[in-house]
Amino acid sequence: MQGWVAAGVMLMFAWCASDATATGRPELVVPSDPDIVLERLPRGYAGLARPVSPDQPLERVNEMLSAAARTGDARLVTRAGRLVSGLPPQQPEVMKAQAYIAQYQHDFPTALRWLDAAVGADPRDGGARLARSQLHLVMGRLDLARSDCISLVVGIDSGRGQVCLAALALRRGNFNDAMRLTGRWLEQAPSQDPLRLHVLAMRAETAARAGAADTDEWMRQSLAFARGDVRALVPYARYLRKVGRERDAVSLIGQAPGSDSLQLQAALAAWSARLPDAAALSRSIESRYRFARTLGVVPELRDEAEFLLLVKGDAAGALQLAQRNFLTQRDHEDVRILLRSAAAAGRTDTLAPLRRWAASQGLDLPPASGDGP
Amino acid sequence: MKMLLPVVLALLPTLVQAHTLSVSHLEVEVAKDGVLDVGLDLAVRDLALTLPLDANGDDQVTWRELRAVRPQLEDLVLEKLVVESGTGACQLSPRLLATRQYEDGMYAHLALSARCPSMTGLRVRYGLFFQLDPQHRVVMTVRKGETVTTTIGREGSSDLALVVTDARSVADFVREGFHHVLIGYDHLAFLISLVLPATLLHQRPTAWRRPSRLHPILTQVLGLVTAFTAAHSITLTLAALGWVTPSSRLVEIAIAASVSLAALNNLRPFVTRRLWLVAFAFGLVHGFGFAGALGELGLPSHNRLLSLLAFNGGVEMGQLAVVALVLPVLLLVRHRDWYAALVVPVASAAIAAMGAFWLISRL
Repeated sequence: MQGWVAAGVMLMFAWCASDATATGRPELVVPSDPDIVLERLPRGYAGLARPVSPDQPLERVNEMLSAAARTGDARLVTRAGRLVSGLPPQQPEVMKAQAYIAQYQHDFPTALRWLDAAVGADPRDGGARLARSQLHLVMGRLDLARSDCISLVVGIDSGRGQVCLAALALRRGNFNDAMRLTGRWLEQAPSQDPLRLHVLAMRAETAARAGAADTDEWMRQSLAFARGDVRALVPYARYLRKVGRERDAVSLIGQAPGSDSLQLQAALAAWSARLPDAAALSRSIESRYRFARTLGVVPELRDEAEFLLLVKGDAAGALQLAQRNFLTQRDHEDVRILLRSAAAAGRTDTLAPLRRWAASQGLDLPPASGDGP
Repeated sequence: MKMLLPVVLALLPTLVQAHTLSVSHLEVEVAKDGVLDVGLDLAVRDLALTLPLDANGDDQVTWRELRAVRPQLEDLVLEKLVVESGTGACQLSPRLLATRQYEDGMYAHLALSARCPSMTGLRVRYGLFFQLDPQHRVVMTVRKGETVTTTIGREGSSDLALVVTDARSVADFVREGFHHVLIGYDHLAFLISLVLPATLLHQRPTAWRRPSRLHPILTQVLGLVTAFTAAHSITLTLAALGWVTPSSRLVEIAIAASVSLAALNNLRPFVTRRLWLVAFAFGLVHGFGFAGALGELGLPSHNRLLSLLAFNGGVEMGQLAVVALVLPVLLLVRHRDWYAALVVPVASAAIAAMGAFWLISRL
């Protein structure tokens, strides 16, 4: 009896079983030109190879996390995670580094626990509060994000408080407020303030969502401030795609060092513009997703959903991924991909949880094709 | 302020990034003359974080720069890659440095030859980058003639070993499945927890009835074993084919919890009816555990399904062997007062304690 059950279950899968682990090998090449460039590295990458100073491991952790934020290279985060795991966890800076590492790995509850601990250790730690408010925004808890923003503005750090409120205003779709707050901060803050890229990117994103005529200018300012930084490149490429300038998006990404997010933007742009390399880029993305799953890694669900929806025309598959993504991530783009895939799949009946959540947070949902909050 | 920089900047809500993992590719081919051809592909980015590869600091790696670090690269590989036979270590000799372009970037390819004292009991052990990067993965492929076996190695299984002398036959997979049950103390503990009171029937919580007829006992045991088998077959198949990839740590924790819960249910029954449902639910978890063992063996690409069936068959045979050994003894002693009063509670308490210990140590 049991043998038949087992055999039946496995035969059911037999028809669909694919050879997921046997990977084809690319060709071996021995270059003839000694100066041919094999790989473009993100800025400052090579400096991270030098030995870690035993008395300053946290400095190296922060260098790695900064480089990871600039480049989207996950190996830097996991290496930083290894280093930070050996440090005393009661140090606030270690807590914040741990929070960042957990957030990067989409383990939001753990990230929140670390930030709660950092705020608990020093309630006047403006950096930890701002980081926690941003995390609440990603998780769709706008009320909790607001609470941190108010604490910042009222008595801890009014500069960070403005940034915090601007992000909240942007999330709520109050574009004028977001522009006013970011504009004021950009005028008042020192030109080399570490938050400047964050605020410039937010200002550009606000312009893009508001459909402002000066969006290009803000995007370029953001990019000029941090050339080659994925935090400036990805939103700009996404904006260019949205306004139908896919070729500009491809050329923007062309010379940047390799990154999953940028490659996806290039593939989506090439596909929409029907460029000659669209099919190759699409195959490459597909193969990377498949390979990641073979390795036991879940790819970024929102990105994969957009890829399925736009390139593969698989609205049902995209909806499934967008729904899974929405369980943990409820930022603007997470909501948009859920709305778009549900509309494309003709399954707007599945949006009840989204509507309930939006109502609880006082958010208006945009139409599937629109922008809004 | 400086310390806050990465955290604050990285938590921008619109910028959660996709994840490029660090991966290496290791291929071992058993050549006709008995020499092993070993090919190792290492991401240039991983090397740039390990060796002084970008010598001029221009954020570009050229072929000239890669060739310049070849001695250090070879030292690194020879230190962390071990090929050994049953009678001693094999002599690894680097042969060629080349490049390979994968989807996620450029890789340096180092080809090596391995001369071994004998060609029996050959094993390959890979240990690069795990100490620096806990998420590093290695895709290990062994080729012998038409037979290709691929295994994914990760930290925690960094002492990776592949049998490269002979392709595994279907019988090998049956044997491995059988063996895994017998050495899998947590699976055994769970199984024994289920079977221990199976010769008794619940009368009321904490009280047992001893049926005089065999039929209800055998029905109960058959139901439990069938439910457990069906469930673990499902998850073993899903995981082995790469359709579901749960965290091995969570699976191990859940298995330990299942052992404790099953044993506690004998002491203070909270489920007295439809025990097969419990066996089924926990069987799903144990199936992922079996998949971990199968993953370490690696499924050959040419007959994956048959090998999977064989491994699962071996697991079942192992379970049936345990039941066949234990059940007659339990049937014999079920009418003794000390069995229900002493053996069942003491053995269950011991198993529950072991499960709790495993649970804590795996957290």
